[in-house]
Amino acid sequence: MSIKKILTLTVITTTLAITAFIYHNKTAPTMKDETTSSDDSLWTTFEKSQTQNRPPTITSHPTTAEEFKKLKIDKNKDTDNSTNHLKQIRLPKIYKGRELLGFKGKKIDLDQFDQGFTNQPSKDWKKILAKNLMNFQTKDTLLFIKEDKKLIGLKRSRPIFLEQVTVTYLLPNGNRNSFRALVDSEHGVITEVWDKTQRDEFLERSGQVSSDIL
Amino acid sequence: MKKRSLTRLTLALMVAMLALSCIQSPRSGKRTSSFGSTNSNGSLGFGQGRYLKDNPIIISGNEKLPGNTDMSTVMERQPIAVPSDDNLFLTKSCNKGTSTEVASCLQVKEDRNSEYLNSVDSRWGFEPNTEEFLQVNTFVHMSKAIDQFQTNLNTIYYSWALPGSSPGFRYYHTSIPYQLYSSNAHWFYDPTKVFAEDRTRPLNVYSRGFEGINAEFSPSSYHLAFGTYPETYGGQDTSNVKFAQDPTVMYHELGHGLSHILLNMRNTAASQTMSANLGYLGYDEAGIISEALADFFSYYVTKRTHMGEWALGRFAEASRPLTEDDPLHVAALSSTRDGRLSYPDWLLYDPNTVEPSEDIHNAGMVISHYVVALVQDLMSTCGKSEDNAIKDVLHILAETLGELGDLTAKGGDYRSEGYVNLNSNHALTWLKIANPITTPKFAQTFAKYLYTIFSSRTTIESDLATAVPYSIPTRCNGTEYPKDRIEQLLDDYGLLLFYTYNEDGNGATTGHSGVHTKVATENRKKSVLISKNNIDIVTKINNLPEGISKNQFSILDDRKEMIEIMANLQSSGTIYNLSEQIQSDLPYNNGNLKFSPGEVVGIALNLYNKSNSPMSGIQILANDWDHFKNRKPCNTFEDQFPIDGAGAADSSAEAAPSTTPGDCNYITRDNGDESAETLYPTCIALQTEDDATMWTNQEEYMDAHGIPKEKCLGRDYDDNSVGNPKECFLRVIPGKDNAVFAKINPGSNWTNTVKRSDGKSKLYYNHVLLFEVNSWTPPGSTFMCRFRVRFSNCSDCFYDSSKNYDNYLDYEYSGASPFKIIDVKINVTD
Repeated sequence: MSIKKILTLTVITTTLAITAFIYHNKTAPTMKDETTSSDDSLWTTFEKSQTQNRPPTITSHPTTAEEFKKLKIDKNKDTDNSTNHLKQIRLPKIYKGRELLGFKGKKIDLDQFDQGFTNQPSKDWKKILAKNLMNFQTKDTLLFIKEDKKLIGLKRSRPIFLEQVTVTYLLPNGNRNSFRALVDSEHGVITEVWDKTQRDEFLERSGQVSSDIL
Repeated sequence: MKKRSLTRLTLALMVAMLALSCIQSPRSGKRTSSFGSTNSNGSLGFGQGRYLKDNPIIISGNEKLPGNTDMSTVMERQPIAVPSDDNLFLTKSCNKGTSTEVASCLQVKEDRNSEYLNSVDSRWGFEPNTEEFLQVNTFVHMSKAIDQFQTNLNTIYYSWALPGSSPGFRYYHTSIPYQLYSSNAHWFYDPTKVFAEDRTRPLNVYSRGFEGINAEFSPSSYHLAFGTYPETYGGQDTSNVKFAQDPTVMYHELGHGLSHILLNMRNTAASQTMSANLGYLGYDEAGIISEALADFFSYYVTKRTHMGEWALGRFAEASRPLTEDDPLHVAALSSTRDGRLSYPDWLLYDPNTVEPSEDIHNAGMVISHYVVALVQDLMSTCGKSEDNAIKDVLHILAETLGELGDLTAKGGDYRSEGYVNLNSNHALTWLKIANPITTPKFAQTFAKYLYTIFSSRTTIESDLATAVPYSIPTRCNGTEYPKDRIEQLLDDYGLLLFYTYNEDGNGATTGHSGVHTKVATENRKKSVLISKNNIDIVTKINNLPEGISKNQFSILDDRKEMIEIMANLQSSGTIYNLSEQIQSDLPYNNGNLKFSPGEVVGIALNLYNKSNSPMSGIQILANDWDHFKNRKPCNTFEDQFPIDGAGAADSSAEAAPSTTPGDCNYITRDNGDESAETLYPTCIALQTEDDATMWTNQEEYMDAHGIPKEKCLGRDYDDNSVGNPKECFLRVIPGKDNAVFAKINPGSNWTNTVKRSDGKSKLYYNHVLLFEVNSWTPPGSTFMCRFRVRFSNCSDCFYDSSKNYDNYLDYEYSGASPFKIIDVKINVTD
């Protein structure tokens, strides 16, 4: 190969390399949405299916990445709050790996405490909860349950195993309702609800009933 | 020849590739027209962008601005610094560089599914009609409002409230928690995290969160989302109308979030698992207050006394004023003492229509107008600037909400548990149903802090160990803001609905033993308080006027509709804990407008106002309460039901009041949790035995009819089994165990009060109580439901006349005294 050809080749190659370098840096940076986090396993999707002449069934599976997108959940929530606060950390009281709720001012005899539980945790609590929550929903509704915390609460002065969850419904009309709840760890029954989605219906209110007006 | 061709080809390729690298990535949305300002990156400096300074109607001065307006014609031409922390994404911290910094405070995206928008060369130049521009606009306005709020909260904490020391350094008990900043209670937090530094969550704002003419705040997922109009609405082109183009609406929505923070300051500081919310039904008085404060937050940032001209007013005729002098208001309203938008007369008023409207947004105008009027009064009376007067009002609001939302039940770091919301075990129940945040409760607490901080010169609470020389209030031009002025302005708005300032709170042992400064009677001219004896069910009214239905309730049992109602209430988290026996297809619901075995039934009571004044905030409670003794119903209440010999408990030997738990004349101090005390469901059964009729609890009725316990509705937590005998046959569904009606006119019922010109009165979920009826209920069964009823402008529903009209103690809301007992008979037919 002649020197001229080698030089030409070198120039072409160098130009291509420079151009590629410039173009690569023009590509927009993206802020990372963490697609995996230790929270993923806490999410479960429930769906209702019905075949003719058979009662409806509820099926479940771990929430998929595609479903997270559909639900439009931001999962990157671990924030670096390296601030210089005057720290006064209050540790929750933990027993059997669960935080105690509502025991302020109450003396606990641990022996009696262990004998006096209203319920015993069941591995099926979430399935039962989902069945209950899907009871009246149509088959196009998706239900998402995220486990938040394990607790021991008080019910009628007796300790009770509870789960704190965040419930999210993705309704057929596109609305997304969510709320937090306490759930009986054995029977999958909600005992308390708070932090419901507040929708500002500026025009027509929803929730009208058609009862015969008095 | 070939060599030259190759060379030319190579050169051409090189030029083409170099040129390619200069082309900017394309953006979404419409391209600009050529008539407005451009927003190119070339016209911006580092970190700069452009935005809409206000909503397009205000900017243009054109009230008829079309819905396809090119936003470049109203875009602010002068570039501004976009306060992104890294100039890459629309994210920022709050209180950056200070000890109170929240590292990740605000994040803005188009919607949850989209990627974060990134700048181009650290500049935010996007075509003004694009979604990208909308995100920048949203970010700028949210940042501005949040920064203002955090700055003011900082002043409140460090300069005015000074928590962390008992009164002696200050002159009042503040509800602001000492750990406000160390526990990150000044921003949104995730209660599931153990340590404070892990808990803070950014507020995610979605500039185009969904299609639809509304907006939402979700405290459980820390987001605000704004909707958008369809291509046409009401016959007009709305193809370029988006909520995030209207800063007043964005500030309103953020206002819901900021109110949530203030309401839960103490809960966050105490690492509470649950949160308080402002409003639990579609319409209730806490919801009214929530909307009022959200409107106020629009004024708080803009200092304009109108909100929503573009996003709500232009096409939907739903914008809202914040002062009586606004041209949208009817002529009868003015800023004079007699012309104020007063409660409850104007509760159903909608400035955009002549029809009555039972809606929390419109009803909230009374309080939003009041707080704006207070700002103006502080300016004129105390010579304050508008900025400072607004900060002062925010201070009072922070104190008010901090106390009212406290689930630790203390209301202040140095107060005892029980001061508010009964106790920490039942605080949420008190907040939701037993003693919720109503208009008078809000007004009283607000007035208390306004008086305490701006007016009071004397010792205000008797729990101080020594008499402490208080600082003389100087927040009003170096002196105090007159107490009379506090009361007069509240009265102008019909909000002087309390007799004392209740500084000693509602605790069982301290609630009557401290200071409760009296309201001057002569200041109550417009605010009307009427006795609870003036409300009753229509069937008890003699000579019912023409046109008032004689039915004691509206009833709803249509199968298809009830399934839809149950689905909606369930998915919104309103109802829960349904009985296992109730099947999802409601096969027993037959739509015969009667209670039948196996049904889910809704009723809306037909209540009548016997007085000469309007009644407002009517609430019907159907939850369990303390009305039984030894499994028998007490007849020691004003309804005197049942009569002796018809099953009533024996209270003949009791003192009145009694100090013995379990007595009829004793009210549980711990919502039925102490031994010898049990709450019972509202509905009791009629049992016939040996030709005698006896009223009895449902458990005895169950035994009498041989129904096995496991066939009962509900769940028994005493032995953790299916079926609660106490509510075996007729069970009120948790979450729909209370109903609220906005207003009943004098000499009328609710239906006629809200009737529109087309003769229709619309019933909504908030009016309805829901019942499960056991399929095993013997046909022909009769139940008496002892509903407890009260209303907001009631003289004896919140105040005890035997205690000089000091507030009822919180535990008393488990009993009968604060209520009118209305007994409603329900027959279960075949």
